Amino acid sequence: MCTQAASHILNGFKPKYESTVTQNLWNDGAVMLGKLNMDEFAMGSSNETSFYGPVVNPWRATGSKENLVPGGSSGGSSAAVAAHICAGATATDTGGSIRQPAAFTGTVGIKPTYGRCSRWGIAAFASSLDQAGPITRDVRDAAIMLKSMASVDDKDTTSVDLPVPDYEAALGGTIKGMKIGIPAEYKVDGMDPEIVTLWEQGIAWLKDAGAEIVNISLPHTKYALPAYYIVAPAEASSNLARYDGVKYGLRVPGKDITDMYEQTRAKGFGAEVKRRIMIGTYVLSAGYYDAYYLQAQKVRTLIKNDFENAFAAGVDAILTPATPSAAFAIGDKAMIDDPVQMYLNDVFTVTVNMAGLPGIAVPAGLSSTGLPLGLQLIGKPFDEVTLFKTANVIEKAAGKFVAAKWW
Amino acid sequence: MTALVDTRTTDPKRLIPGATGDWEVIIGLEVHAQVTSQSKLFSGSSTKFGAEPNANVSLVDAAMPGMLPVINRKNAWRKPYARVLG
Repeated sequence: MCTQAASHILNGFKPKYESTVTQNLWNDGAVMLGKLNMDEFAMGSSNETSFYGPVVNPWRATGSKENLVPGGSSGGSSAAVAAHICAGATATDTGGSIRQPAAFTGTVGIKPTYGRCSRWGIAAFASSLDQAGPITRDVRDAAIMLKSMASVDDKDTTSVDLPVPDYEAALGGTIKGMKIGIPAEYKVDGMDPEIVTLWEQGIAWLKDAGAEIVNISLPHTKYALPAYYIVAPAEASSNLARYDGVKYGLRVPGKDITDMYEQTRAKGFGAEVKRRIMIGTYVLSAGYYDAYYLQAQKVRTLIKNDFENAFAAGVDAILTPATPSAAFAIGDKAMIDDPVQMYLNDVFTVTVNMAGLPGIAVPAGLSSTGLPLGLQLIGKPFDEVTLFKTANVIEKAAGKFVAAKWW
Repeated sequence: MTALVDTRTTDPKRLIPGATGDWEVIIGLEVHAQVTSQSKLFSGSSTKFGAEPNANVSLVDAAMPGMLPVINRKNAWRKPYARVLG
């Protein structure tokens, strides 16, 4: 079966190898039903950058027939799981690509700690941020699936040799006395009041379950998104240099080899991928490297330090909203006209990738228009157990959210 | 990438007078060394000389999607590299 990363440039590419995370799933008896749509090379927050067209969210606003986005980049995964087409789906998360689509579709999505899953066999976007994880309908399924996917791997030197805990066994455990941090900086200006209410509801549920709520500060949060949009495109521009039409995928003939490269890349990549390759090449170029890339790397360390300070002060997990809004319409003009509006979808999730931490999105309620909204829990490195346990408490309090079938 | 700034002060005895001013001669060496190893630095492919075209190519050498470099574990690589780079 073809692996095309929803890009025209990988047209017809059939790998002769199996990624470690999927091989782990097959070894445990999982069955592949098919491969799903996504944003091209995982670059997008709405699944609209796919060469194969947008994915439609199974959720619709109450009384509306308007098609909504399923989030992105793993929008095919989130939509298929929400529509009960499959029990669970693999996904990858570089800046929120598991958690944001999970929040938009009322599903559970976990991005594990960097190094928990092997990246071998997964087309790379930004190697220092990418992690694979599951999207499922409940926390238990996510726990089972991550347990299977996670492993150390000789073929990925960034994978970590730590035992994979039995995540499922942690479910139902008490969170009494656990310290849950509420970061002041995530209360962004002009935040949707519905998201504020959802967050407060989440705090109340955890408090009711015996957790201690503590206000924390993550002072460098506001620099995370700008720094992410330097680091991620920089790595992408390097990772995507291999797609040249020589060995696999699309080849557009040219008058000589340079012309062939140029024609292939011009035709093979979509607008968002080209934008990011150009940004990445720019920030890595001589003269700008120090001003942009090096600065962004320093910001990244500061963001990581913020989290480390919170955890060192005794915080066990951090609760935030997963997204700034519910799912929006396919073709939303504000998002298409201004890429930064689209990038803001990941404002609560990118910090987690920048710091290499685990984060889980769990459905927590419905908007006034009847669309699912999610909360995010951020944990200590390799402490996915706490995330599953705490997300399970939220899930039990919030109840199930199933899209009404219209398709 | 990062500009190298030489902070040493020049010994005037080393300067050679030129038409436009004094010159200091600084000689840099770029050393290309081949390490005797059975496999490549970032893949398990053979380094056998004279093999058929494309015979010593692995998935990572060919930059297939999703492939990751893994550094050769043999110490044979590290020591000479440390010497050359250090």
